[in-house]
Amino acid sequence: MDLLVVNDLVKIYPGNVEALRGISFKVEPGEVYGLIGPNGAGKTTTLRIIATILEPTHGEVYVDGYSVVDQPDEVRRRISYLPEEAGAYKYLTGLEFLEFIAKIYTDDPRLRSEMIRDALAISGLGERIKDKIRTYSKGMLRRLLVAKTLMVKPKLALLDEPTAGLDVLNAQRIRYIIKEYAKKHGIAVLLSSHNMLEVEYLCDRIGILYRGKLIVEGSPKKLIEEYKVVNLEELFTKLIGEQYESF
Amino acid sequence: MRVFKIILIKELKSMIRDPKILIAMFIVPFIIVGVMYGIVVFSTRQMVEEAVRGRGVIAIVDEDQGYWSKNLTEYIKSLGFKILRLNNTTVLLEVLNNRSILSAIVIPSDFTENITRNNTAYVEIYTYIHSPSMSHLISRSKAIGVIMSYSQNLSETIIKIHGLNPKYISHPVNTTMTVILKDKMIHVNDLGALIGGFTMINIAFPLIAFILASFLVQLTATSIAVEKEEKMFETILSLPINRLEFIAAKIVAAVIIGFIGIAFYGALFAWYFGSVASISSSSPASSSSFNVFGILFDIYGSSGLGAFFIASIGLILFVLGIAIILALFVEDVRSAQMITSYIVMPFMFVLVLSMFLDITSYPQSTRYIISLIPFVNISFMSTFIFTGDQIAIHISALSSILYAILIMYIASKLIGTEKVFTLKLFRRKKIRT
Ligand SMILES: Nc1ncnc2c1ncn2[C@@H]1O[C@H](COP(=O)(O)OP(=O)(O)OP(=O)(O)O)[C@@H](O)[C@H]1O
Ligand SMILES: [Mg+2]
Repeated sequence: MDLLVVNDLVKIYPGNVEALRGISFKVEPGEVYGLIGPNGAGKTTTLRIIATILEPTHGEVYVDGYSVVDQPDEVRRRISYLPEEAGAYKYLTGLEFLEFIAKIYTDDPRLRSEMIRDALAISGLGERIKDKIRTYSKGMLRRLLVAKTLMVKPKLALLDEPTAGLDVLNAQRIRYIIKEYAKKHGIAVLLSSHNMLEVEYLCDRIGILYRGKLIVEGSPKKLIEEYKVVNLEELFTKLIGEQYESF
Repeated sequence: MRVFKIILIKELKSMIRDPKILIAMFIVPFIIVGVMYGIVVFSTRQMVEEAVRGRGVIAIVDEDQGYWSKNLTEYIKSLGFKILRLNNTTVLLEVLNNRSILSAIVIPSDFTENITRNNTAYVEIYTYIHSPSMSHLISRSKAIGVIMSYSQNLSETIIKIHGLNPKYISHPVNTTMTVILKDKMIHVNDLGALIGGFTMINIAFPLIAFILASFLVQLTATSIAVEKEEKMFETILSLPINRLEFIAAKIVAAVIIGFIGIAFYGALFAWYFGSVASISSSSPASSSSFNVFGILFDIYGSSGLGAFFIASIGLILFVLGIAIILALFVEDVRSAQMITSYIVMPFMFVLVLSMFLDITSYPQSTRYIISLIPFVNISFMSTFIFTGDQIAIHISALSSILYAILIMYIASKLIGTEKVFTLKLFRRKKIRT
């Protein structure tokens, strides 16, 4: 059974902005799915609808069989979302923040301390975890947020540009962790990214979103073969560039 | 309930640590009250001392050199003023240019003669105003006060010489006053104290409700806006928590911090008014005004106070509901605080208005309409209770609660939709390309 089902999803913002124009895709349990596409393609909009923040104008979204419109509470129990531009409470320490999130997901102290232990490993913040979040750099904050998203071991993790703002080494480390952690705990991941290397390394399957439509879908390997390109970046340029040229 | 507790603890933690909230709640008002206190105490003390003690120099030009002119000079001296004797008025301007000379009194040559012949005598006072400040002007007017009190003393002496009672002559007719409030008769010797007492009880309840409401509104709106400012709002909306529970936890946190604030300010004001009262404790008005206060409490009775209480709770929830709705749609703490002050301001206006408006003569229907308008009704509730207008009292209390329920219902409906995320007030529309 599919964990995430997106069926003919349409989102029209006030002012008649058509952000999504009927997209459909599925994500299996434990699968890592990447949404790529140029700025304004609708990646964040898609993730926000799945995260029960926005309501679809038309179409259906099911997480683990629950509709985001009719049973958002059930959906929220199964997802964990990392927004594109997320922050954290500045006047809490990193540790207090993680504890706050962990407590919301479970009241079992054993599970909680397990979550915190995992989060410490994911974030790699070491002793700095005891400092106030307001003293963190952008990269440190992002690592903390990736950690809080994954540590709760959701059925579906929604990561909007998880490595944005991280340096090369930190980004590589986080990518590795996402892949390993998802595999180990059977977490399905839906992520968006502008980094083709990242997507190629991480994702079992990708979907290319362009102007609110899913124009291509498949595993990176298959797509590269099918379109006779050397890597995803070339595929992206070929598909989107062609569209741009048609202007 | 579990989530409620988690959020509540987090709220209290952030509120205590976040300087934004601490500054808004305690430090700024503390400084304002402190400075106000300092100024009032200092200037009151100064004025009281100035008025009692005759400090400074008064110049005297005695053109009379008679018995009464010497008597007047001695009197001024006995009050503690220094006397600067001048031979004639030619140097007057030069002398008065010196700031330490309060005034110059010119006693004309017919002064003694007029008094002995039972004619009104005149003196002329010259003074130089160096500054428009209050204390300076008061010091320049001292000489007139001195002459007035001398005149008063003199008239008593003259009356006594004629074998009459000076008290009788100055006030041949006097009054005492009995006020009938409902079934009680109260003797008042000071109408000012009565008016003060009434005004106090009229606005006391709405004022307390108002202060509490503005505290809670400010804190709740701020703590909601903090979620957006710290970019946690999107995350919060995706967490497995009941959004109503989330808001409720914020309100309860605000109530806790708000009551600490109220207690803090209560203590501060008690201390403040205590000190001010001790300076002017000589006035008997304060004791009789406290009597009036107690009597009015008796008259309102427990049912009236109960209605007040219910309406106040309704009002607080109502204002809180509006504040939550608005705070959900603003982007940052500053606009949240600005908006809450916009909500609170008109209420302040109504409160002041209710002190001056007499609605007892209005037609019954108008009074019912007043009792239907949120906050306006609570401002006039003491009048309804006083006149025993049971219908208006009930409408006020019930409508306040109804409005609160209605606005809370709207707030709770909105919280469940995407509008909390997409609707943005006070922000220019993005220019679409
Ligand atoms: N709140 C909103 N109101 C109106 N239009 C919006 C709103 N949010 C997004 N849009 C529009 O919807 C479209 C899709 O935006 P979205 O944020 O989903 O793109 P994205 O793929 O995440 O882009 P990026 O790579 O820049 O993050 C854009 O045209 C954007 O202008
Ligand atoms: Mg985006």
